[in-house]
Amino acid sequence: MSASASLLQLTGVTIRFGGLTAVSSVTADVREGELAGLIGPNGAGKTTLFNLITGVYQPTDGRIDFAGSGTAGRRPFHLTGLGIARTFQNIRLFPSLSVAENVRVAFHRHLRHRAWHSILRGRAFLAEEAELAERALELLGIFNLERFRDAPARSLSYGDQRRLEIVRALATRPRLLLLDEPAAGMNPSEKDELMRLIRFVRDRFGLAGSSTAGRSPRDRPPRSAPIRR
Amino acid sequence: MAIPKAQRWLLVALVLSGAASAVSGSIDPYFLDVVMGVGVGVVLASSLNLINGFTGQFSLGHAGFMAVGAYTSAMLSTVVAPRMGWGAGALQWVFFPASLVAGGLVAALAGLAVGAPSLRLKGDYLAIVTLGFGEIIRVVLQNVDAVGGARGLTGVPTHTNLLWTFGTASLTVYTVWALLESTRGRGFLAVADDEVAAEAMGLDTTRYKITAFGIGSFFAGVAGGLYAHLKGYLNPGGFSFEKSIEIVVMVILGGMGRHAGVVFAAILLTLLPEGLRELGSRSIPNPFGGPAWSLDWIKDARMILYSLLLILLMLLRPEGLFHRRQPRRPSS
Repeated sequence: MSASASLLQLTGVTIRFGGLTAVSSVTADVREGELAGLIGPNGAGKTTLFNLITGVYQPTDGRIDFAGSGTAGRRPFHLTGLGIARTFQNIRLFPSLSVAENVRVAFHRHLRHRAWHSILRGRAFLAEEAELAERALELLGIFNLERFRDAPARSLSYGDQRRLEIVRALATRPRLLLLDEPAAGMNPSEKDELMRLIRFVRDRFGLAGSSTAGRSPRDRPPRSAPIRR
Repeated sequence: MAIPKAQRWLLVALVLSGAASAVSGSIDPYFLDVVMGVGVGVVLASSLNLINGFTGQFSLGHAGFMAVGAYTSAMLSTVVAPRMGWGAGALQWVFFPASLVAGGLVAALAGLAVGAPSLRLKGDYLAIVTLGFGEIIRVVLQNVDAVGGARGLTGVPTHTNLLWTFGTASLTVYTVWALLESTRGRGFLAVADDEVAAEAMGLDTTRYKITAFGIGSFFAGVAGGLYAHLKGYLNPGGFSFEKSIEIVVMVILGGMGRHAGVVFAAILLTLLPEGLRELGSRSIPNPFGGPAWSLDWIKDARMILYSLLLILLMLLRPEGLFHRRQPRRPSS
């Protein structure tokens, strides 16, 4: 292990799909509270690396440590519980849920009530539900999305959907937030706005952010690791 | 103490079931039989709606779970109860619901046993596994002489009345509704929408699916118990995959993941064949004079008409009679 402040540590991470080596011995680290970038051309394996970090794939070789312990064999929901949250390159909101419900679902790891409490609907359950509704609104408010709270998530504009994905990821109370191509399809002024937003999120929620980003220097976080095809 | 709104509705439904049950002596027995069949249909459709509608799984084995519950509670009533002297008098009021719950629990165990290994399968594949399970149950029942084999199980006491059927129906609808109407419950919809995103938000998708299967099968088992004590006779043939499909049709017609729609569809589809049978015994006067036109042919063509009506409904309302979910965006 390197420095104690290292939150995420990748050591020689490799994954092969049959004969194709999609990610080949990547070694990198992200420190607590740091903004880090991952850049590379299409097909370089940026999203695959994110899928490895979040447990969607298991590495063929190498190891991934998060907050000092190995992530091998852990399923994505477990890693989310440990504090890794992500957004998706092609937005993956829950279309049949409303905007506020999309956020509330992400509180899942911190719920106090169990399934039978929702059937009995006791005082404590209703109080927690009210509290969660309020917290969801509060988070949405920070990103100016609260006026859409009851709208279906799919009815939002593209940019708002991207922001909702970030809100939803933040609701899991992450220590590490992975943003996959957050600037995809945005014009320069929207990108500036996004960079401001990412810094704001880092400062406000005190977490490390890692994103895959475009090629022009202005889009990149201060410390970016390139990966090649 | 103020009772929350949702529970108030449940209470009203239970009281109404009790009241209806008290006056059931003066209701035509055939009509009563049909009405109780509707109640059983509502339990089956609502419980399958949790699995197929809300959680997005495709189970074709609901009749199998129903059979497990039906035979379990029927055996308790025909073998255990008389031996212990529990079948008669006031004890029946305790023993019968207990046997229904027991049937539900055994069905839930069967649901977990099928669900746990096969839930990594999706869509059509899961449908095939659950279909296979339902058929295995039926064939086993047909060949075990202790439960009557192919001749069926006779002499089941007819304990089922309006209170039990509609009490259970109300409880089922309430439970499924309440389960969904919570932050944890919204997870079922999230799992149906996008499993990868649901896992990334910290939801254990496998556990959600198994929970849906367990609860859904439990109520299917209870419905089976009601059915057994309604008809007084069980035949393995009644739990074939056609019965499963009938329940799936109720869910699809009601609009996957609609509470009221599915209840309505269950009522409609249980009454429709009976209504057509009734129509078949009528005749219409011949406008040109001569003998009245008999509608007897409807009796023979009943199932054909039923199927045609279903096809028509699906063509006109492909999203179900009621629908909330908008058509999904084609996945990229």
